[in-house]
Amino acid sequence: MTSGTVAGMAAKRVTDITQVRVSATSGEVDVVAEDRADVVVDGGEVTVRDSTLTVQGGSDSIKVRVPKGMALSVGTRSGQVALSGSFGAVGVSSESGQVSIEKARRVDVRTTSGSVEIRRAVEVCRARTESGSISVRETRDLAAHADSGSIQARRAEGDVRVRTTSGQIDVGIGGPSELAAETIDGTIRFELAAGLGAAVEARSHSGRVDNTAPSGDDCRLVAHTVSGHIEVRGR
Amino acid sequence: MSDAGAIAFTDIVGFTKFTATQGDARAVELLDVKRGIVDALLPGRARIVKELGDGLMVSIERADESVRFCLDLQEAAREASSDGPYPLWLRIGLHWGAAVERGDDLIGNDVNIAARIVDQAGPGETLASDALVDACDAVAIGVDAEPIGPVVMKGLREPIWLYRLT
Repeated sequence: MTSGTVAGMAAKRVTDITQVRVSATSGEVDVVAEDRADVVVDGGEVTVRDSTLTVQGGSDSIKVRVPKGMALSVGTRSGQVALSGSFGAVGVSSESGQVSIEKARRVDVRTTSGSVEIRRAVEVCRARTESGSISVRETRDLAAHADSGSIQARRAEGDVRVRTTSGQIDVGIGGPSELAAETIDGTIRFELAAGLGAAVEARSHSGRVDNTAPSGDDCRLVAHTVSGHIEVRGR
Repeated sequence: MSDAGAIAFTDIVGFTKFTATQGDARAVELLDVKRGIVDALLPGRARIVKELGDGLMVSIERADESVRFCLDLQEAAREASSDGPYPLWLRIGLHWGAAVERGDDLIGNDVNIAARIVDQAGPGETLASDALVDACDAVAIGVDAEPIGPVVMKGLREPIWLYRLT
């Protein structure tokens, strides 16, 4: 590990890293993935073990620059987390902070009451919120749970499995897929892209399953509601 | 003080809402389904420490047995959900550590950590701490431990490094 200067501030520069882990309590965490071979860290306490670099911070901000495709995990209580560029597998957990992720091969994001925005998950997006909100612009596969919060995925191209206790989940389906939806007392809505048809297998106790999508085999939905509402419609 | 072992907490996601909308009798039915599959799958060197509403605290001697138990439990819960009348959304938190025996109960920081881990899991998920993953050879028992990362949890000073087991 060497010390260097980045943007006028002392920073640590490390090579041969395959995984970066960052934890903070309330400080901002800012990670940029770009064309470079080394990892540069500004802020926090840095340790390196094998090829894993760990940064532990508190209320001060942490800025990290990593090579494109880096595996990254971030945990924070209330700090803001911003991930810019294209990452490998990303895991973010936050109690109440605001999280934004530009692009990652795989995303696992968990928040209690914070708000999360994900622009693109190339392979799979796994999202969980208690009472917060998660917005995903584009993903292939989606696995999501909202307790009483909300999850919105504008376009999912692959398989989708969503559950909500009493929250709201809205998913735009972009291609043929296997869909599974379960709710106790919440609302789940699927909107199929033009040209897609759906076959729906539904179970409901005192809830509702409404299917106004064109009939077809492109999308197969297994829907189970206790007292909530599941809706499938075409565009 | 007990020897180090695995401590698992289970919880039914949405149980409170389910009880509120479906009534007490159906809630008890759901608990009975869950308890039935736990009792059927509990390893020999394990015991149910206590029942906490819709949750259970389980102590398991061996790390590898604790992982297999939790994953088998999830599989059985999935089957019960798809075959049965009600969704059984089980989540499990698993940790490795020592505890103080107080009668039949177990008390201590590692117990508190396990209790916090289950709160991080979603329905159908089993999350384990790095301590538990280190204590067992996940590859040898055919289990995938996907790193979630450092998770800052209420009441705990240091983040806990969590893995998702499948």
